[in-house]
Amino acid sequence: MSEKNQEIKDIGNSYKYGFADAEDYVYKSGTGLSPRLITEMSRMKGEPDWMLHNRLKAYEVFMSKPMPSWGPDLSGVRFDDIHYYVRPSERPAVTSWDDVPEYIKNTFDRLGVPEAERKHLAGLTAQYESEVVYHSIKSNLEEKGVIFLDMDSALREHPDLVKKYFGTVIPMTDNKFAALNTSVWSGGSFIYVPKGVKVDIPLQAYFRINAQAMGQFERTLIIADEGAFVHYVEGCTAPIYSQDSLHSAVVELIAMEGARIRYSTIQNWSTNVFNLVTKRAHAYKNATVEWIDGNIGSKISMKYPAIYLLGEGAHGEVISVAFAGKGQIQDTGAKIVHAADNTTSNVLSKSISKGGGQASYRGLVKVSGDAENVKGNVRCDALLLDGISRSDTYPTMLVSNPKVRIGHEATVSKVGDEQIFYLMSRGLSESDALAMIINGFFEPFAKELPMEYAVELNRLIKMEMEGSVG
Amino acid sequence: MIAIDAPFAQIIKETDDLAASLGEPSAAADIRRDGMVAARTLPQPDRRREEWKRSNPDRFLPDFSRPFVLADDRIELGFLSETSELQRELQELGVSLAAEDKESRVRFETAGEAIETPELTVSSLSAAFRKDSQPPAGFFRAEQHQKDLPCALNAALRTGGAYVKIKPEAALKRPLCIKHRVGFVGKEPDGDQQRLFFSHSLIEALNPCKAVIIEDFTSVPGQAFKAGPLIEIDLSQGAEVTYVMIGGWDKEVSCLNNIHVRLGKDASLKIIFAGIGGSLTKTFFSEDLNQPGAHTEIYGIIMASGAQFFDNDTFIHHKAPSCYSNVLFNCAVDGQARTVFAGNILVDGCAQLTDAYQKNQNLLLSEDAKAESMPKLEIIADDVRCTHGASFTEHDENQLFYLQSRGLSEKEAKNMLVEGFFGEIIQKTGNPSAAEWLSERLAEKM
Repeated sequence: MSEKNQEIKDIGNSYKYGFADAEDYVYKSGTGLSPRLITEMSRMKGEPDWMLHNRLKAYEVFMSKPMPSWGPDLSGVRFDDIHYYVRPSERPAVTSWDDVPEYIKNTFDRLGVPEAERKHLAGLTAQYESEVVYHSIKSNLEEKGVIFLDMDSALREHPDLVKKYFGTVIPMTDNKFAALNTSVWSGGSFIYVPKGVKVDIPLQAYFRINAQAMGQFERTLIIADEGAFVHYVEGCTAPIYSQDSLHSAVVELIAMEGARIRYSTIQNWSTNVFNLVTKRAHAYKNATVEWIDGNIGSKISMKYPAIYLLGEGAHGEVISVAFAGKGQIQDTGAKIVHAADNTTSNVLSKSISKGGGQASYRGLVKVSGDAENVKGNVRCDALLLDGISRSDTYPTMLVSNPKVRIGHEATVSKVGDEQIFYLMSRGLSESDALAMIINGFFEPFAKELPMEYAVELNRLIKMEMEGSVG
Repeated sequence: MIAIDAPFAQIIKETDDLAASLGEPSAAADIRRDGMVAARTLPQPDRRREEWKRSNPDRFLPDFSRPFVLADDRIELGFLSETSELQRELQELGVSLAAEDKESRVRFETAGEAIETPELTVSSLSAAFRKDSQPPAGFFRAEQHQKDLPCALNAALRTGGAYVKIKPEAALKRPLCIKHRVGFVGKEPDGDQQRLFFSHSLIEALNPCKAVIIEDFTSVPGQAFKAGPLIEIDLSQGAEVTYVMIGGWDKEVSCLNNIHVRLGKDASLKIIFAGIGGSLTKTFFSEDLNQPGAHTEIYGIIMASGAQFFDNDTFIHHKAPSCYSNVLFNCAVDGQARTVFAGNILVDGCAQLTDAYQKNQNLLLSEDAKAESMPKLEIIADDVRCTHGASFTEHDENQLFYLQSRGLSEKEAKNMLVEGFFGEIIQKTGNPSAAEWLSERLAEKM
C-alpha cells in the first residue's frame, strides 16, 4: 500500500509524458492564421475545391465570432503566436509500423502505444502534430466494409461519404473554436461502419503534440450505419513547454437507427495545453451513444460532449471524470437534447480538485415541446481535497413537455472524517483509508474503461489516479 | 408626477412633495433625494447578464421618459388564529359564529393601523418615520439604494411598506399578518401616465425572540401596474423569524421583488415565498451569511397558470463558518406558463463547516408549460457539505387513477396532487394558522 500512498500524494504532480523530441519537420508554418496559410495547406494536402472553400468560409466565421463570454478566462490563448500546421513527414500515413520515422516511433514506443495495438486493438491511428503518421486496421474488418482512416486519407479515398456528413453535426457557425477547427483542421479519424457490422474490439487513435506553441486541430467523424456498433478510444499527450499550445478538436458522431457508438477519451495533455474541443453526436431511432470522458491533463479544458437524441427511443450516456490539480481548470460537462419521444439519457460526472485546481460541471438537459415520455438523469459528485481548490456546478435544465422524468443531483464534499475514522477503526492507516475512498469515488468511471485491451489508457489513469483501476 | 428624467430640480421637488404628503420628516425626504440621484446615474440592468437573460428589465422598471402615477398601499394589520380555538372560546361564552366564518378555518383579527405592545411595534413605514423623525435603525443599512437601480428607485418613490420591530425576548404566540391592498384610488391615471408602485418593508428582530410574520400583497382587480416591493430583514443575534410573503397580485401586475437579508450570529430565518398572482414576477433573494452559526431557509411555492411567468433568483453567500442554508422551490406549471429557478450557493474559503442545500422540483401540468432550472454551486472551502438537486415530472398517472377510482373528478384529483406537492412547503411555516392562511390563499387560485 505504501507505493499507493506515494501515488496519491503524486496525483497531479507528476507528468510522465513531458519529454520532447527535437523538431525536425518537413513543413512548419509560421505563427498566426491567414487565408494564405489555409490555401497553401489545402494545396499541400491535395484537397478538393469544396473543402478549400469550406475552410476559407470557416476562417471568416472564426474571425467574426467573439470569444466565449462565460466560463474560464481564455485571455491566455494567443491566436497569433500559434503554429497552425506542422507536417512531420513527407509520406502520407503508413500502414506498417516499421515505416514510421524512427524518432516518432520512439516517442510512441515510450508512450506504449504500439504495444497495446499489437496485442489488442482492431485498428490504430497515431497522429503526430498535424498529420496522422500511422494507421492500421485488422483485415477482417476491412473485408466487412469497415472504413477506418485518418481524415485526410478519407477525403481522398471516400470524398462522397466525407462530403455528405462533414460538418452536419457541428456546423462551422456553432462556436468560435468549431469555426477555427473547420478552417485549419488536419488529421483525426474517419470511421464508417456499414449496416449491421459490429466491431467487437475497439479502434484507437493516439494524439501527440510535440512542437512548442503548436495548434492541433484534428477532425473526427464516426458514422455507425443501421444496427452497427463501434467503440473508439482516444488518448492524448504533449511535452511541457513554457509556451502554451492549443488543441481544438471537432468530433462528430452519427448513430443511425439501432446503432451504438461508444467513444472513450482520456485527455492527458501537459499543463500548458488549452484544450477547447467541440464534441457532439446525433442519435437516431433506438440508437445509443456513449461518451466516456476522462479529463486529467491540460491547463484549461472546456469540453461538453453533447448528444442530440433525434429519433424515438434513442439513448445517450455521458460518464466523465475530471481531475483539477495545481493551476488547472477543468470546465467540463455534458449536453443532452431530447428531441424525440421515449428518449432516455444518463449523465454521471465526478471531479476531484486539489492543490488550487478548479473543476466545474457545466451542463444542459433540454426537452423540446414535442418529445414525450422522456427520462433523464444527471448526477455530479465533487470531492475537494484541500481548502484552496474550487468546485463549481452550473447545470441548466429546460423542460417544455410535461410527460418527462428529469432529475439532477449534485454533491460537493470533502472526504468525510467519519468515513476515514470508520475505515481506520477497521485497521487501515489514514492514507490507506483515503486511497480506498478515492478508489470508490472513481469506481463508476473506472469500470467503464476497456481495460483488458487499452493497456496504455489504464496506465494513464493508474499513474494519475493512484491505480484505482486494474 | 413628471418623468424621472425630467429636469433634476423638478423631479426632486416632486419627491419632496411625496414625502410631505405622507407626513414624513425631512430625513425621509433626504433619503428620497439620494435615491433619485442614484437612480438617474446608475446603469440600467444589463440584459446580457445571467439574471436578466430570461426577464426583460423593461417589463419591470419604469420608463424614465414618461410621467407616472404612484399607487397607494392600504395596510391592514392583525393576528391570525385558528377558528377552532376561537370557536371553542366563543361557544364557552355562548356566542355562535356567523356562517361565513365557519367556512374559513383561520381568522384574521384586525388590530388597526399600528400595533404597539411590549413584544412588538408594527406600522406602515411612513408612520415609523413620522414617529421617530428619522429612519429606523436597520433602514438601508447596506446602502443598496446607492448601488442597485431597483433599490434606488424604491428609495425615491416608495409609497408603501410596513415596519416591524420584534423586541428582545418576545415570543409571538400568533402569527402577525400584514395585508397590503395596492391600487389607484381616486387618481385615475390619464392615457400617457405609467402606473407604478414601490414599497419597502423593514423587519427588525432584536436578540433572542421568536415570531411568524406574514405579508400578503393584493391589488385592486383590473388595475395594471409595475410593482417593486423591497423587503429588508435584519435579525440580530439569536433571533428566530419565519417570514411568509404572498404575492397575490391581480393578473395585470408585473412585479419585481427584492428580498435582502442580514443575519446576526446564530440567527435563524425561514422565508416562505408564495407566487400566486401577477403576470410577470421576478424575485431576487439575496443573503450574505457573514456571522457564524447563521441558519437560513428559503422555500418557494410557485403556482403558475395561464400565461404567467415567474423568474426566481436566489443567491446565498456563505462568508462565515458553521452556517446552514437550505433552498427549496416547488413550481407547479399549468397552461402556457413558464417558471425559472436560478439558484446560486457561493462558499468562500473561510466558510468551513458549511451545510448548504438547494433543490428545485417542477410539476408540469400542461403540454405548453415550461420550466427551467439552474441550481449552481461555487465552492472554495473544503470542509463543507453541499448538495443540490432538480427534478421535472408530470402527475403520477397511478396516483391520479387511484384518486379517480375513489370518486374524484380528474380536476379534483389533479388539484389534490398539486396541494400535496405544495404541502411539504406549507408545513414549513411551523404554525398551523399560518399554514392554513397560506393554503387558503393557494386554494382560492385553484
